[in-house]
Amino acid sequence: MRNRLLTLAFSGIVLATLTGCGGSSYPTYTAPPGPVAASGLTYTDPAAGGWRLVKDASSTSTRLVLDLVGPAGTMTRGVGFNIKAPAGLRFDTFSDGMGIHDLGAYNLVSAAANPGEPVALTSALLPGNVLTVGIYQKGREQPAIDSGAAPLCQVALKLDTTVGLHAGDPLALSVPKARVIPEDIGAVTDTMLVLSRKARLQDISISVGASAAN
Amino acid sequence: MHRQLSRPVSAMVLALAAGGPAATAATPIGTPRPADPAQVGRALSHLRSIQAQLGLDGAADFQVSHAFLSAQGRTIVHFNQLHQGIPVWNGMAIVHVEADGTISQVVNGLLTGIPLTGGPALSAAQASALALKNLGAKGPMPVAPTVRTVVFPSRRTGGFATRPDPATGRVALDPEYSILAKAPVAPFVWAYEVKTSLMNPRDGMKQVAYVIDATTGAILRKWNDQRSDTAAQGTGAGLYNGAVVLDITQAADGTYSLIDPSRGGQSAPSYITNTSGLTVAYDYVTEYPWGGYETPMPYTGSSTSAWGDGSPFTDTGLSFDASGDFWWQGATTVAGQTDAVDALFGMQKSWDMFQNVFSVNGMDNKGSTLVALVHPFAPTMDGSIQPMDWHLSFGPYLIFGDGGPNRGRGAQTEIDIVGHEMVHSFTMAVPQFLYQGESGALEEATSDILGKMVQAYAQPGGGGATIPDFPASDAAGLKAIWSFGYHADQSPERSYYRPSLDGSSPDGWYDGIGVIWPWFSSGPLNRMFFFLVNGTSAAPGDPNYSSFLPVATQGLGNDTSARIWFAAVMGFMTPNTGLQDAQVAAVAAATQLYGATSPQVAQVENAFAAVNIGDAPGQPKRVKVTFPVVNPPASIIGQGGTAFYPAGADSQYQFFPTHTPVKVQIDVQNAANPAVNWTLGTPSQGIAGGVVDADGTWMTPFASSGSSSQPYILVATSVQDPSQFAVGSVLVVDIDADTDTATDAMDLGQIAACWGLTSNNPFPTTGLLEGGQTTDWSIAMFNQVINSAWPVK
Repeated sequence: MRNRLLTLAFSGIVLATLTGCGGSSYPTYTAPPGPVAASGLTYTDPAAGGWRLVKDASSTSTRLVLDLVGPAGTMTRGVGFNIKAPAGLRFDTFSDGMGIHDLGAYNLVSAAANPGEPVALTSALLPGNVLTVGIYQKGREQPAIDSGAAPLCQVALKLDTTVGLHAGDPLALSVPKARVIPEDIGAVTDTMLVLSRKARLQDISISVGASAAN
Repeated sequence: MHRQLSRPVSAMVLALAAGGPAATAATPIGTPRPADPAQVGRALSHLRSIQAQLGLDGAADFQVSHAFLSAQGRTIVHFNQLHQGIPVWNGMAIVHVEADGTISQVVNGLLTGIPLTGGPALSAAQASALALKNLGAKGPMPVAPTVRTVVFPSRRTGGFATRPDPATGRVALDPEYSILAKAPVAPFVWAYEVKTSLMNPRDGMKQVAYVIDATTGAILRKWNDQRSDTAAQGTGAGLYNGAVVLDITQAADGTYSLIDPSRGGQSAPSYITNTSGLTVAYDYVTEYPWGGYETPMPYTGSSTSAWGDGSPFTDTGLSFDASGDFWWQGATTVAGQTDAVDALFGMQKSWDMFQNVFSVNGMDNKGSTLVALVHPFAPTMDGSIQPMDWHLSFGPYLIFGDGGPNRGRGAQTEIDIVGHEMVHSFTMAVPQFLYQGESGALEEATSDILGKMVQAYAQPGGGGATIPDFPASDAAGLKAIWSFGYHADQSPERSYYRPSLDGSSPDGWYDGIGVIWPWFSSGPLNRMFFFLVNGTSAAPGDPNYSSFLPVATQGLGNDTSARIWFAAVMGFMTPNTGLQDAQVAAVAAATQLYGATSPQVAQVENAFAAVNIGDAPGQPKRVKVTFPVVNPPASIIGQGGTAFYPAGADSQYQFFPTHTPVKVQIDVQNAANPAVNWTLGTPSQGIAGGVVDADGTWMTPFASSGSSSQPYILVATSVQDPSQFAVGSVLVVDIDADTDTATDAMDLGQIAACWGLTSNNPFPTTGLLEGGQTTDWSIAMFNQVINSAWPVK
């Protein structure tokens, strides 16, 4: 009983001593703010000129729509490319369920324009988060178009919120492969030898801007 | 006024009368009566008044193909569909007109969405020449081909036929009747249907039909179209029927002929002479080898009205006359007449059953005559003369082979066989079943079913207005009765109670059954009819036990069952009716005859459920495994045929790229556990397909050397209920059109760059399954394949 009283008295003395201090002699520490979870995307267009993917005005903070634009004066009959996105970005579809949107620059239907005829427009999601898309005129019936006169097609991306990105995390897009159908692919009456040289797709390089989560 | 039921499966829509006559039990009336033209007119007017509702435009019209007045006073009118006055291939509608003139049913087998204008570019003569070139006849033709212009649905292009491999007994491709054709892009095209006939020792007896594209001349479809003085009475001694009385002819000179003038008063086109009255003839060849015409020679000029001696025919070689004509030695002897007696007896009983029980005038309701040919010659590859040991229907001719002990077969004139061939005349005239896929099964099953009823009808005490039951028997007796050709063949051709006994026929329906030959795919319907007549049993050892319905049900007997089936076929089935629709048709027919809540309707549902079609009353829904429709009929893939598959069936075929991890799609309904076990067949080209995992994932193989595609048969069996399975096909396609070893959108670019090229295409890989030319079909196929593997989610 006596020991307990002494303990209590001692505690009280300590408390009183601490309370009685007039100022602090220890530095305070304010933890820096934690990383902010990403909720949107930013994209900076690449330099002008050449084949490139530029941000479309219909983009929102959460959905990035990229237009494919070609160099002015380059006549083509179609284009296809593979675009690779890192973890954190996923490709979105358009209202028709496709991963590519036709902007009407190419003439996709045949000269006969049969109702319901299939058009050479395709999109597929390859392993490794690679969207492969293509938009092509069929054969030689329609004239080639100036690939720089207007945007040719679109793809769309969204932030994958399950990945746990933070604002400022870079999201590097790349286009490892791209080809066009050139203007001269020979005539339907050409020999097989001539067509073997002309009726081939040609490699191009598509510039991609810088994208990041924000 | 009528209303329409929602339609279960294919192109058939049934409309039930809101105020039709009360259903009563069938009342046989005996003598057939012709349909009232006014009733037929009402049917036509009604159809025209609703054609927009049926999805048809102003270019559509209808042509009466058949009109029938039933025992209930109902007029049933079959209409062939027309577009701009031209027949639409296999398009049909059936209208039921009640006695008071009300329209009670419209069965819709019409084809819609026909944008065709203009007309054929080729002439009929050109189309005929193309068909004959393909036919490659070695000998003379008895008649010129018949040609008619048609509107052809492109989705019916191509198709492959199967036949049993004599070495293995398994289903194998029949290269003679398989067409490797690609469908036109347009959904409908102008075409010519060309029907050819051959009847000579070099070519044998053949009826080969073609559809020729009237613009390009391409063969769009090909199939084996072959499926037979003064009245007096004579007697005959048949091998199977014993002593019988026959209606025959006595000529003015007092001689007798095996020609029955009391049946078949309307002559049918005959190759040699116009024939009136059911006739039996033997095969006779003239002008061989320079001409080699086969001429059916009627049995005539007998001094006695007694025919045959009841003994089996023995093949002892050929008889020749001075001009080199020949026939089977003994065909004209008394022993040779024995088969003729059985044939005529069977024909007469078939005719009488259709007249007295079903009120049909002859097998086609027009009284057309038929000719039975006994002691026929078989076609051989080396041109040698051989006897025939099977049976077939050949236009107005019914061919019955001699069999032979060395071939394990007796004379093919047993009465259910004769009845079977007679009934083909009915189905070819009225529902006009397409002889492929599930509709082909319906044709064969109807012949088996009603042929067996002819056997019942011909029993002592039969021959009146009803079909008697078979005598009560033990299980062994039941099996003997319900086997097709039980006495004619050492091993019966088919078993009604257990079709699988023949080693090829299934005991129940499954998704994919239409790919096998109609002789085999008819098994479930034959079995259904056996259950309809005899009921089902709960005891696993009984012949009428079915694992699909392991309960006891009461059968309806021969007469009621036959009336229901006849009414279903006559009134509710069209050229493309399948097995699921057959159940709907049978229920509708039984409802019409007996009422919706009748025990007859319930037993129809039981009988079909016992062969895995539909559900029995009160039965919990069974697990159902089906391959989904991944190519809708309106799609370019769904419209056309590939090199390997029956036309119109592409809606379920899945297409995958080579050497790619994919996921096969399957639908499993009514299962707590939807898992399936997969079995991948070895394709004919021999490239093993690997293994499909339980979840459907599959690493597709490379295509075989020299080929851009590879088909595989795929079987998916329910884990929860292994009796439920589906058989489907997948096609693995190499779509690396630019051959850079990577499959991506750039391959479509190479296809597009070569679009329109044909023989000068330097990149043949761009023609996916097109063999060098590249068209919209390759574009559609590319997208189908790439999206099945890598859809953009």
